[in-house]
Amino acid sequence: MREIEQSWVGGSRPRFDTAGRVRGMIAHVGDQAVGAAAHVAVHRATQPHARIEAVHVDEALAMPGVYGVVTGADLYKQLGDRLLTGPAFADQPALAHEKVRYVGEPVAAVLAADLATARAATDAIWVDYEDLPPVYDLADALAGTAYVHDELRPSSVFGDLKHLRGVRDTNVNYTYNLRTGDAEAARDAGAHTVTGEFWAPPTHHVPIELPCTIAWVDSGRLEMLTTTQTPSYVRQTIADLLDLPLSRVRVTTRPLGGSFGAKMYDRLEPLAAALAWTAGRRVRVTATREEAFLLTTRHGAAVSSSLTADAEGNLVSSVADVRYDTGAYADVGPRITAKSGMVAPGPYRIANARVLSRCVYTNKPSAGPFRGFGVPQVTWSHESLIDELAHELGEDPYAFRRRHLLREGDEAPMGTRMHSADFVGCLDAVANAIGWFDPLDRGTGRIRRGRGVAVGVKAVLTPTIANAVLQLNQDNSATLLISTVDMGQGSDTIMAQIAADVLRMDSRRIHVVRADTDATPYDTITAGSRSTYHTGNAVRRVAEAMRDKLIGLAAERFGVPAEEVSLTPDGPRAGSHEVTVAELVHGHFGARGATLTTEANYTSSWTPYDKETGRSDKVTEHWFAGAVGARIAVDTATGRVRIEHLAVAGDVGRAINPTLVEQQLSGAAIMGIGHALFDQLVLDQGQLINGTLLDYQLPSIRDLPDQLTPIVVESPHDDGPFGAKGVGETGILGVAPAIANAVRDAVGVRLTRLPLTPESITMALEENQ
Amino acid sequence: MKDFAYVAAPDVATAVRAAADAPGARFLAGGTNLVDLMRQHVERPDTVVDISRLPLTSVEETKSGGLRIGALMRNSDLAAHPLVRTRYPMLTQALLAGASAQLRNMATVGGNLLQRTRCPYFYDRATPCHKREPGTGCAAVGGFNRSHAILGTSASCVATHPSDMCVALAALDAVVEVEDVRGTRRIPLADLHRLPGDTPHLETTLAPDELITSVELPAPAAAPSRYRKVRDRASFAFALVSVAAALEVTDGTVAAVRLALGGVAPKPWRAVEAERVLTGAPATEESFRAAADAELAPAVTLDGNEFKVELARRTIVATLRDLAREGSRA
Repeated sequence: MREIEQSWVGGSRPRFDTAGRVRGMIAHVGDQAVGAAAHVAVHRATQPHARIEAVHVDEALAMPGVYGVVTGADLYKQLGDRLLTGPAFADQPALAHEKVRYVGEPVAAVLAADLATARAATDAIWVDYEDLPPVYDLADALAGTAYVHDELRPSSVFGDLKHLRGVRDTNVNYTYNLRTGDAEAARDAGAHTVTGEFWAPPTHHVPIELPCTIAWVDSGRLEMLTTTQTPSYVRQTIADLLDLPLSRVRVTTRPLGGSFGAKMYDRLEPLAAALAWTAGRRVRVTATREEAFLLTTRHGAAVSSSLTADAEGNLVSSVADVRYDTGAYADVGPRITAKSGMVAPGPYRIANARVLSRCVYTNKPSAGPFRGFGVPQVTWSHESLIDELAHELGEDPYAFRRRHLLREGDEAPMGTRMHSADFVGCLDAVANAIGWFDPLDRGTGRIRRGRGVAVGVKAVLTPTIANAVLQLNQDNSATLLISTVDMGQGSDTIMAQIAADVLRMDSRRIHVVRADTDATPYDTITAGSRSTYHTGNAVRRVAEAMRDKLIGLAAERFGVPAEEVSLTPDGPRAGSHEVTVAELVHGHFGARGATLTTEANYTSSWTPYDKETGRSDKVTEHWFAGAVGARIAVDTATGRVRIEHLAVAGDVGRAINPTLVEQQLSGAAIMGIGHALFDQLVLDQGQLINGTLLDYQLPSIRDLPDQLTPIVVESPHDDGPFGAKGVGETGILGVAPAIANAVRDAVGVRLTRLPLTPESITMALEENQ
Repeated sequence: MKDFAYVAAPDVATAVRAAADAPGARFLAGGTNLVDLMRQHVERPDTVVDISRLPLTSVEETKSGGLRIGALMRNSDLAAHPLVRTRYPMLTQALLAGASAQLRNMATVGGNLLQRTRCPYFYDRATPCHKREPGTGCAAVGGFNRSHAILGTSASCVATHPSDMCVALAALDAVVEVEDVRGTRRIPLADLHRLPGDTPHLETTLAPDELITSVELPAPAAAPSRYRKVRDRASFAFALVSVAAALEVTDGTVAAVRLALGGVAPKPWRAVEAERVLTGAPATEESFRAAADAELAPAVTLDGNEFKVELARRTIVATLRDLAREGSRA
């Protein structure tokens, strides 16, 4: 392959910023010189649920270097109900107003000359509380004696939540129902049923880069530089918060040092904007590592579920009661509840399915988006159940799954057909990789070995909008304007590859502009693995428009019909006619350095699911299909699990950059190992107990598998750019159940609570004896 | 962090004088524990005496064939020291099992001896803790206590001592040399740390202004030894259970044994009961089990840490078994 082709679609061009990221040469938001600014620190609630009687700030205000102290009541005076923001429900104030709903909630903000002063002053603030009955967990919340919010307040973002406005006396802010056939009757009539009570705890994203927002007012406009995956969303939120036209809000970004959903929607931005606007100062808001643990979490989720087969071994019923603990604020929990609830039966042909999926408020730190968007929690349920059912039927868990997996064109339980979702190919690939069909030395003494597989399915966020603007410079380099945020996934690199492939140019000559709402066009969000497909399609289209433009100019210049002109790496060609792009553009404008500009849009569509049945013939634009295989060794004396080989496969449609796809699969698998064996946020009476990098046990490099094999599966999507789809989440879906299924295979115990701690394994072994 | 006076001590005499003159002063060496605690407002000293430049960084052989280790020796340097590696491999193993490389590069021997517990409630000023604020209560007993102690606890405190190094030092019969304005004295390691009783805030038998200057190890025994640590993740995690053991077997009988436990008690736990049962007993699985049972018989568990009893038993037995095998091969 020629070097230039390595920079096109299918080439494993190194990501353009690798050296900068590794050497710390990329300036992230927190590295930017901020100039004269008020540094902000936050006083946080000490009570899980309490009415705020008074906030005493005089002592803090009197400290040298303190510019001001702002409370929720102060902001409410200026902003009214606009203080409450959020993607699904307008329920979260930038600073607690009237009551606090979790330990650690921001109550007052100190603006000071430097961060140390601001932080010291937060200790000089004290609050009088009137304690309210706390809602510590799902059981408390569903008992319905105390309510985290007096009434539900749907935001204007999602029209389908409108009917929930003003509903009182509940902690359930959203319910999704799936009803296909009669699942209860089919379960009761079925020959074999397995059931489980599954639990996946709340976890934290732990990106390396901490969040930071700098906001200021310039010429009556609110401008900010912030760590966000969702610049277009933040612009809208800030415009709503301050009651400004969108043209008077500017959100700019830098590359993120990881995010995984942690830097989405309303994080530090509403507070920074409100403070900058009301104080008329440049403000810098940041968070310590310990504070970052409180900003957002992954939903803890309880799933009570069953799976039933008839006498012939056909799957006849799937029933699941799913409860997502969304904490004090809904964030995007309702969306997670629906999108994950609809795949709770798993990627199988099942005649009858019933899912009740609920999003539940508790007095805990708010849960929001997290790589996988709630799907790993239900995958934990369905992949444990089908494994157990295979054991009960005396069937091979791999073969049993394979028999029932959805194929191309099959309709999933929620009514949408499968396309470009090669579950079978993924499952076969991981089974082969870990040696499923080879003899296994299971061990006879203390160390016992086993193997497990799991399959995952997830829908891409739909509908969403992507836009792209391309400027082709006279020297045949280009500037691509999109609002996708590169947080390490490599989007800036692959978007350039897509454009360059169309334009037959070197993708290294394309600069992707960092999202800046003054310059780059609207894009729904960088999340949910949607960018390669959606923004990638917009980029493909904008490049095609540019190609057509070049060909048009060349045809004019050559005096031939456009159909006769082709674009080559050396420029347009038609028979004996040839010209370089540089000459062509120069000739057109008569100037050096001029640019040609094109723009394009890509918008996906869906059919909203039916309220009663949860069904839709097109609930999503496309599917993610993945599988995980694990070969593990259990130390029966300590209960420790050692992963000898982990294989993770994802159907990406077509790999724009195979190396980056493999890295996404591996990275997701490693994060999944954390959720399987290590990660959990421990809360005791609403208080986070282990919110530090020492106490929160992320896996270390020495806990990784002896062998980790990412496998790219390609079944091209008809409408994807070059057939491609995203891959950011695919790898994480099935990791925990694959490992737990391998534990089941090794030592015969079925665990239903994550993480699989050593003592949970040894205690289960003792009970089994 | 609260404001404090800072004294940089050029020599030991100045350091102990500064501490004697300022009640409540804290010595600052590597800072890996003290600075954390000060940031959390758990430690609030008015005076910090910086001892990091004192010339207490040497390792010397003693006349009796042991080693004297300067109190400001960094954990990494001590672990890598040829005399430690070759003569006290158990100590090197324990040091390298602790913390992270970055922390070991900063942390000192003296600081490690005085390391405070990682009980999350000790760090959290919003919860009661007898150790942090005597008389307030203990949130761990009814709270998240998976990592807490099963031996030597009291109704007022169930926190564990976090050090790995100290467990090895306990097994090695180390002696700590301390100095204050009145002079020097030597404290056997076993007597340095206290059990919590009714006064969990008093963790050692040191006077507030006494400075640890060195640690002395007796001459090494020929017996095979090992430090074995069981923890959640394979680095940067405290021990759920750890075992420091040395076992000398003659003609199938235990001639001498040293055994200490970590992660299970409020202090580095010398397993004297197990040693008593083992000494003179046949070096068999049954003896090892009986010894572990004898040591763990008084264990008191909480909701979250019941598993530690069995885990400690298995780890003790497995470690002794490995040492017995190693000894018989030699």
